[in-house]
Amino acid sequence: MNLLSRILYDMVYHTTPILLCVLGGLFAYKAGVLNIALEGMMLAGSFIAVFVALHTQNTLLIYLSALLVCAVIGLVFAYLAVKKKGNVIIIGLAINMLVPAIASFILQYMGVPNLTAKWVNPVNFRFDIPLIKDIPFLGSILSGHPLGTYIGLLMIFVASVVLYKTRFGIYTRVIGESPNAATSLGIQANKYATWAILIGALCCAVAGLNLSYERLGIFTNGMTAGRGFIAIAAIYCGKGKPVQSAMYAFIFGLARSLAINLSVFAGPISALFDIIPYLLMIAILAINSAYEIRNYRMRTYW
Amino acid sequence: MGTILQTKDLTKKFGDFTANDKINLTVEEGEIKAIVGENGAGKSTLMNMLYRQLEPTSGEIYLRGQPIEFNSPRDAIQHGIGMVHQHFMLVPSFKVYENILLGTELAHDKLRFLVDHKKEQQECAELIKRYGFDLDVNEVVENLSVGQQQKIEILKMLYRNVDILILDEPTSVLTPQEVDELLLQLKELKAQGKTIILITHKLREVMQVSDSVTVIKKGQIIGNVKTSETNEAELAQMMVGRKVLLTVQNDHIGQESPEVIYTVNDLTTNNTYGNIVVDHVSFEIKKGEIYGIAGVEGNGQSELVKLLSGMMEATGGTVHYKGEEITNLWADELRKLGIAIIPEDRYAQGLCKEMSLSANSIAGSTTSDAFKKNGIFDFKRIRQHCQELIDHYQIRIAEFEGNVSQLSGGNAQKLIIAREMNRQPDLLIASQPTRGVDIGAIEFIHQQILDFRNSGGAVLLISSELSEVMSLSDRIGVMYKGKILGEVDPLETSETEIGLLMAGTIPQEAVVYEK
Repeated sequence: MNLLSRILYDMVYHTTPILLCVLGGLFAYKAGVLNIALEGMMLAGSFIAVFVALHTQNTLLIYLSALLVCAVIGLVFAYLAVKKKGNVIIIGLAINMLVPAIASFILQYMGVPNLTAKWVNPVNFRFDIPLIKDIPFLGSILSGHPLGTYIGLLMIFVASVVLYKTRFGIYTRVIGESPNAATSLGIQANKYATWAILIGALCCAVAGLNLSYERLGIFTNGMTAGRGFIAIAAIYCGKGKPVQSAMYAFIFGLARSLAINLSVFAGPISALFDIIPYLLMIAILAINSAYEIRNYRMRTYW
Repeated sequence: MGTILQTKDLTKKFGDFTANDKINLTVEEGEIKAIVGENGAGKSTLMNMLYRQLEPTSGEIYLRGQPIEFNSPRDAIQHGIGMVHQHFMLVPSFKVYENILLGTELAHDKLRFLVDHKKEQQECAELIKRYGFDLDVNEVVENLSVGQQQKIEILKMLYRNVDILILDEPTSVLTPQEVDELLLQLKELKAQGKTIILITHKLREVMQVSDSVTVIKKGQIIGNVKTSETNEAELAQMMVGRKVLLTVQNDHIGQESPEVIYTVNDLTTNNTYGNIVVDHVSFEIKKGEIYGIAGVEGNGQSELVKLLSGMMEATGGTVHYKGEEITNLWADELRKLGIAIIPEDRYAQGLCKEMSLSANSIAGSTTSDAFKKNGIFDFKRIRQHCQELIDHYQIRIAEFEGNVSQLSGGNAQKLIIAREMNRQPDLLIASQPTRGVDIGAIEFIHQQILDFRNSGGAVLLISSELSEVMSLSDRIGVMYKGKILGEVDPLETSETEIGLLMAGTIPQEAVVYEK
């Protein structure tokens, strides 16, 4: 593989967890609930996947347990935020702090610095897609990824259909945009908001599982490294539209891929390249915001 | 035809406050029933109980003799009761057909989990045709006028085959022509067998369209009359409990001084979406003159007031006051120059609800030395000042040390007027000064504005109540799509002619001069 296709393959590879978070998280965004717990949910998925992989080699079981745990966290979030009308920022922060704290406690209890499922060989998880793999150039970028990546790419399409062509998606958008219209027609906002949060949690489970189990077979605490927040930035910039938001996820993936591939040439300062995605996030948010308020003439604070 | 809807001792309490007290309402099938009452009399509470957006504290509702047991708006619709709210319940980014069918989406024939947008469009187009409305199903709602949005709300209910249609203050946002069109449509619906309940405080419309009237005051029914056996004055008296002047005594003398005190020239600004919302607006106000601005809401009046009161920035044009340029000055600078401001939304911009009466009474003057001793607030003097305002302007309060939230709408507005007038300004900018205020307070506020004018003050009056602008102003500018379309003399112009200007057409004869 030459450098260019290497960079593009890595872009898809590194976009995966962000992309999954984005496509799951945008449902809650559309429903008017800011879910900042994406980060914590993703970390929970990472941890559980490898933790279960220490005891079994059953892929299905590993997937199910990660999904289950994240669903529970999602339900807790939904219960507190939707049913009990709590402050979403505080609940989200609590989850984001609680998950790594529990993980670190278990690591300490087990007396290990991180979890390693020795039987996992990431290469075995990567599989080619017939037909696509034979397309010159494109095949080498899109094929040969783990399952999570394909789920993520498929989700762009699924999220678009669900959001715009099904009752669930239409109602989710309505409760976020004009909750009074929803109530006046008997659409139960709480129900749809809860499901929207739950979809986000399940997608975070797959994202986390991809990050730890599918890629490395290793869990390190804090390995999500802010990807959940980058996903929020992508959702925000794409206004929650599946294709646009996914595009921003790819931009962040590309930044990460560049950081890794170019750092080979950078020598001792290569670590500096790791800040590229985060710098890019700030830059994109700033540009986006400046663009949004370019016509703002009010003197009010908000 | 018999009784279709009846309530028995229907009561709603919010804590200690009784919003509806033992209401016994009877609505006959196929009639247009008007329910009138002042703001805060409990009309909307009653309707929200009929529509089941509110749970009654006690009492019962009978539909065709059967007690109703449904407990959600969706149930109410299924039983044939539909409501068009005062504030529309539409999704702005959705198309017309999506809004009409919201909650009853049509499924795709084969893929049942998908919504069939094509089928929905056809169905809605047919519905619109059947009832003779004029609407494009594929239009996005946020691009439509308020009148058109209201049609969507009515269609939404008609699609659900309701027998009883409740309309909550449907005409408050329409031009006079749109009002006439709506009233015609209501008569048409009545002819098709629908029962209509019209909640309003506009007595002219009640007289025009209804069959019977129920008057509500302070949560109680105080009268049921046949429309043919009553008149506006009698209804007004029932609503308020005493004789009221429906039209304010305005001799329109002014002081005919040639001295121009306030000049606005080509003022322009845009909204967040980059659309021009105030478009080269120019006018001038003389001493001792009330300049009124009329127009359907949302045609730039709101932004114009924000520009002139220092809450928004202009992108072009100038404002001169007493020969000095004051474009884009901040509100405190304007106040220091002697400009008083009655803002559009009294709680968002005029008062701080959770602060005391006395603190609110000096808002806007906090930098003045009058209320300070050695640079620190002198609360004794501030309280004294507040008490003076309360006495002089007859503001009814419950508790002096309490917050502004204790005041009724009318008394809160009086506090703002007291505060602003007390500064002895030379120019008063009054935006929607009587919105949501009871009839008694309206009388008082109008008199204050006229007295100020008669004593030589200049007034800019912006209001969506056409009758208010017409009875108070000496000259009227009509705004349409951000422009002042024409300037008219209220004494020589009919409401119909102004209505045409409000809708964007310039009538031939009436306009004094065209801008």
